[in-house]
Amino acid sequence: VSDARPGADLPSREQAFEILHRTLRATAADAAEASFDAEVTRLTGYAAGELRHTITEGGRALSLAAVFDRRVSRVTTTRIDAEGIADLARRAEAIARVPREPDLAIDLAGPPAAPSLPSKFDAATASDDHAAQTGDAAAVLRLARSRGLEAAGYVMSSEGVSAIRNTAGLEAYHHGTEAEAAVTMRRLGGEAETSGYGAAAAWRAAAIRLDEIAASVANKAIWGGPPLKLDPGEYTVVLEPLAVAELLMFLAEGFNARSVEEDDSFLTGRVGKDLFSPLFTLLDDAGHPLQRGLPFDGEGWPKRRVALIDKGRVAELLADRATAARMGLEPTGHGFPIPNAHGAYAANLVVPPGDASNEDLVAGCARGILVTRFWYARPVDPGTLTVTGLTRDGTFLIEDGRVTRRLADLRWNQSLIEAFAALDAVGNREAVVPMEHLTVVTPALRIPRFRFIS
Amino acid sequence: MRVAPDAGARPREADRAEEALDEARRAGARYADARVVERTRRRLLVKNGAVAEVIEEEDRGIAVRALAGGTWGFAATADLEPAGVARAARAAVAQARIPLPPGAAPVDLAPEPPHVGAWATPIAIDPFEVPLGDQVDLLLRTDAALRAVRGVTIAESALRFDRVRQHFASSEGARIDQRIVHTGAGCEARAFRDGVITRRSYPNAAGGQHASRGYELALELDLPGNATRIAEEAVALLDAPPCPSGELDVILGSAMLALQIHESIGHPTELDRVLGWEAVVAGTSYLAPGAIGSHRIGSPRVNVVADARLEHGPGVGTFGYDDEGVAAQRMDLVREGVVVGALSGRESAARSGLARSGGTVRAESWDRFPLVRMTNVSLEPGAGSLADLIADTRDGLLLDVDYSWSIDDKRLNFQFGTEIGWRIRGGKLAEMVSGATYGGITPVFWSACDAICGPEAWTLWGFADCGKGHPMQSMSTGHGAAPARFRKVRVGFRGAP
Repeated sequence: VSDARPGADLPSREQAFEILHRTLRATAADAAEASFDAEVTRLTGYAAGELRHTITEGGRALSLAAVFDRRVSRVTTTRIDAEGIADLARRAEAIARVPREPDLAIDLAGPPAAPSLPSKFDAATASDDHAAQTGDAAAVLRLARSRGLEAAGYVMSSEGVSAIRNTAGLEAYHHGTEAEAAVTMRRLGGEAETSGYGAAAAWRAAAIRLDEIAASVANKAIWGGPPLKLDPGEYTVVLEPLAVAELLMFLAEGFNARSVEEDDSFLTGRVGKDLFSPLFTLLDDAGHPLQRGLPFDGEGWPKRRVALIDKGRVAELLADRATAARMGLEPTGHGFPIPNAHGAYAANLVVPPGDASNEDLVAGCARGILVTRFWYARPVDPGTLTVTGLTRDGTFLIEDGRVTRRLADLRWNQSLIEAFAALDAVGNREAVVPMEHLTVVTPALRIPRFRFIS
Repeated sequence: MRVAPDAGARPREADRAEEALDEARRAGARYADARVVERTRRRLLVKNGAVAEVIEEEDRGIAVRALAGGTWGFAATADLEPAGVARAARAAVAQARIPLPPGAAPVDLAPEPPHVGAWATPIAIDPFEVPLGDQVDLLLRTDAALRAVRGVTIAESALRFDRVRQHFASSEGARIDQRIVHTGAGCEARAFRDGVITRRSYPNAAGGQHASRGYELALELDLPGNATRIAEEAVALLDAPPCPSGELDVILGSAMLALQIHESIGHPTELDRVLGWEAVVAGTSYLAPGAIGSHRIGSPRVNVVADARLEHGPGVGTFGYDDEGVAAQRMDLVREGVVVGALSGRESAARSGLARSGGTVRAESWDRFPLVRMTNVSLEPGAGSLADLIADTRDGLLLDVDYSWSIDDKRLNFQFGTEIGWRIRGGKLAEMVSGATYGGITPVFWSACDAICGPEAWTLWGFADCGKGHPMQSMSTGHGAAPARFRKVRVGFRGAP
């Protein structure tokens, strides 16, 4: 371990499984599952036109799920010495032995038929350092200053290890890298302030072209004159990938099989139906070449490529093992760790590209709005999947097939079922968008009759 | 009531902070601080009759923050062996030595006496000493009451307990031990019929009430005794008429108003947002840096304070010292409708020409860089009861408990949804309405506030999971509020253009 990596101590595969072996050996549980995650993240942040901070976070967590007499508990610690592991095992047993009815689903996964996809690891990303990051940040700051703009953003890279092993014979291991960058630039001016934004994610830092992102953001922050306040109403929108990703997050939540089973999803009673535009396909695909992250889920089960929406049809749900067993489905490798009250989650959304160039998307629009990014989207009505939110950092008017001027930000209230049913064009250029808990690979989309309310 | 005697981190780990500071000094830091943090978290969830989650997590680690000629260097590690701590300290200083671009201003810190002391959350019943079986039993009884109501499709009851033991040491001489305990408790019923999903929570959404208290909070809330009522309301909402659209006078219940304060007054008065330091993710503020002291956002009835002291109440923004070692304070944020103060830390205060930090800088844990965060940001009470206020309202809506919240990155244009609402006609509560939404522009909305109920209707609410920063940090914030009336508010946004 070098000084550049305080506390990283990322274990090898053998070391990680040795920790898990010691943990499983320490418990007298009828069945048990242990997982170990360790990560080092390096981030350089800048804002208000200056460098703000350089951060190294080295975290780790050893977790034990233990089953005693058909009751399961989960305990987690950062201590991986003998004392820490013994204490972990003691706490797991104490919690699992709390008198209560037996838990419903406590069987552990055995070895899956197919192994997980290979991890995405890039040695150059793992050795990325703050000197390089601050150099990149300084270049963005210089560009912004030269255009009369104030920049804020971050450059981040991480290297992580995840391992899981259980008493039913399952083993999974991941050693991967991730990188991410985001830039905003603002032309200050009180109520006349304008801004632009760009972000990208990858498993190789070199795949993120920060210079290109920064140049695009600078143009967005300046272009289009003073913002025009547009009347509320229905407009065709051309949504750039960042805006699309924000909507997909809400859409994907409904594909949790457990939510459908519990009547808590807009898809209850709608699986198998042609609910959306035939132009629209949505996958969860951790194996996509541009995707990043773990190749297995919280139960150690390999992530499978799942067509959530296939040419407009609600095709398949994401299912953890217990829910899959109850509903007669195949587990897809998207479950939370046991004990699991929440079911499954999407982490690697992909919208396959269509055939429309960015110019085509705009050219096919007589009057509409080009949206860089949505902000603070929140559900209003879960049954119709109506969501509200705002535009941010670059909203532009489209007239007669051309982007003509900048708009003030707008609030929208829109049923996403209606929106993705009305979708009429899919772009041909994919981008990789970092979201808080998932990564989205998507092109731009065009959607008619999007409802703006203020 | 007792103050736990074992405030702070274990002595061996507190020693690590000294080693980190020594190493940082040797490496050339002009300033350094170290936080050794040990957290214990317990989560219990009962869902639809089954114990769905019993989880206990502990973590411990050290964070070293340093200045050495450049910008902040920060390194955190779970490796508390002497070699691991020394590595973290050297890394923080090495990062802090990376030269700034020409012309960049070095980090300056507002002065604060180096406090040496200890502080602990006063609790009556340590939640980690209550038998788990008792806690599970409380939730199972609540769950049974929720599910006894016909039409409930999902019942959830939850408890969460957090204990943080922290030792803070700085190169200026501060040595502070703190032991902070938070308890959260709540329950929720959801109902589904023909594609409509409704939800009711008690006593608030997002896990219920959270406070700097012990297990006594969970007992006092009487979850089983309130479960039937909220379950019945969840089912009744399925048949309730939709919230009307248009402009109406609105009374916000204190739980909803607490979130309104959080989003439209708390966040925009964070000085790091005002200075543009959070522009890339969280956003900025409607406040310009020079506008504090003159920017009107509300009617003369609107007075808001930020208060981290215990005298304000056991909020989840209550502590003895912040994560820069600055003592807890009370300050005015809004006085008679004018923004007169901001939430600050040592750096943002110095940058803004303030004499002292407001003591509001906190980090989610040892592995996160500390940021300006809300403490207890509360609306001061007015006079009268909720019944008086309803009686004084001819035609309006009573709305309460957050369902969804959305506000722009400058904190101006907002739209909130509430779990439940009732029409008010002729000074009396009338029918229940479903899918209620209201929205507006922050200064217009707060300027329309013409009545705030009195101290007897004031509740100090706690929110456990406010997100900010990148990497994202979760933080607990407190907000006191009594029900208040706002004239001519736009309501009923659901789905319509």
